[in-house]
Amino acid sequence: MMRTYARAMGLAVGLALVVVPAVIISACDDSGSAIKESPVTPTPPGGGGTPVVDAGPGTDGSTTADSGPSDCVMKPQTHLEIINACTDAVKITKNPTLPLLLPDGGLPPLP
Amino acid sequence: MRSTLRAVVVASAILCLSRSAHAAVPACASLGAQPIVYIENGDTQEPLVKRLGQKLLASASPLRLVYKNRRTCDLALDLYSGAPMMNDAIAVKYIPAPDDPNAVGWTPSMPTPACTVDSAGVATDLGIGATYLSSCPSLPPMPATLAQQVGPVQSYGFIVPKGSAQIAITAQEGYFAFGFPQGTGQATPWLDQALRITRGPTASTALTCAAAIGVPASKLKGVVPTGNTSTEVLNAVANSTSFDATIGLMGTEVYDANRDKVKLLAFKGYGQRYAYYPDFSATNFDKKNVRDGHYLPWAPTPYITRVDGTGKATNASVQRILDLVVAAKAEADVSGIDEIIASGLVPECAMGVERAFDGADLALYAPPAPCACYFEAKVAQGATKCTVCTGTDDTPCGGGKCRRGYCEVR
Repeated sequence: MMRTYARAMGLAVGLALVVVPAVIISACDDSGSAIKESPVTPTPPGGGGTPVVDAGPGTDGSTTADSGPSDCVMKPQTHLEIINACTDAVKITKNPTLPLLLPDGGLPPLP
Repeated sequence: MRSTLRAVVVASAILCLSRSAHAAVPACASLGAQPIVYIENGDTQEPLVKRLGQKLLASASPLRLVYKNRRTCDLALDLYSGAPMMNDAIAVKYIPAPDDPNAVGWTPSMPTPACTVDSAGVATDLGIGATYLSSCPSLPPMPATLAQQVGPVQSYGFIVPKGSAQIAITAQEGYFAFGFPQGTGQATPWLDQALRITRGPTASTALTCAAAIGVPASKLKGVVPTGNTSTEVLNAVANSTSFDATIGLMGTEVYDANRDKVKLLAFKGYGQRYAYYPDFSATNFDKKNVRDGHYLPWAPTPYITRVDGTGKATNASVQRILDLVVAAKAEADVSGIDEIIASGLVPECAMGVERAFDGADLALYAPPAPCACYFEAKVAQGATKCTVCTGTDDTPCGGGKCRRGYCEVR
């Protein structure tokens, strides 16, 4: 009885060790460093994106020398550089689907 | 017989208390011998007025603050036109002394008692707005007798019920949620116009939030609470049972004092890759992302007053307030910068970015006498990696300068 229980517990722990990291990895986006809002599957019509939250200091791989295309700016000068400057603060990825956006990504005029 | 007597005594006591409560609203001018400064302020600035007012009243040179919460564009117009502060639907309130029978044991986290001004009204000495005056579309040019000084930075944001699953909003989502009427913006989950709780178009909260999402404040599609106050927005959002569909606009220092009731969404501006909280994380209070430009809905607070030919306030008590708050100075028993920080605002000396008007692009800013280290150390849950120093000894600062006990960059 005890042996069966122990075996079941072992299986459960093993399964958790496989499944939990898989879920975590699948929740990451291409930035690999930001926190997302709880993934939503399927994405609801009209948006509700899937934000992801960065874990914080030291996790922004873009600041390393050989990490490929950078997603942040080390020495910002302009507005766009300032708002996308490298930071260790928590950051959240959110790219919602907004049906009214124009094909080029622009905004339609307000009604 | 004895019980009847007891009942009469108790009833009399209740009647007495009740009558004294009704008769308790004093005349503002008769509160004490101290000089009074009459202030009209945005309701987001009330925490600072209360905190600073308590310290000023208890200081070696006591000063009484009497104030009325007023929308930024409305208070500016009052100052510009010379319209007096009146007794009306918005209460005139005052900072009470410790022994005030109307406010026993009062602290700045408690409501302030009301007082009444003269029936003809009283001149407002100081206006404290909470966004760029250039955002007020119907404001005439400022009279030459007035001047504006730029006070601490106030940040704003989008709040949702605690039960909401949302943690961030993009500027585009805000554009479609708040710029389009009922059901047409398709910015899920913020589709129901009755559940978008906004402020009127003369309120700084509406003006600065609207600028951040690219919608004129006059075109915000939502519900303005009856009294058009931050407290009403807070309560409407906190008490909503439509968790995901409800959203409101709020000053972050009001949010900071009510984090147990609502959540603040991280904000992603136009052209920004990620959304950020005003603070390092959802649980900090350091306004890191406001100060370095990652969080966009913010504006400085304009202080408007009558000035003489040299630019000084004609009212010496107002000049004292300007010295404490705008210049972030400290007296022996009142520290302007400490009250700014404790109120959830950011002093200019802790900012690393600036902008020219609501929604304008950011530029890097190097304050002449920085206080970023001090700010980080003093803020709630604060900590700083800056080197500690003493007095004006810059020796440990490696080229920096010792200010307020920390080595600042210059």
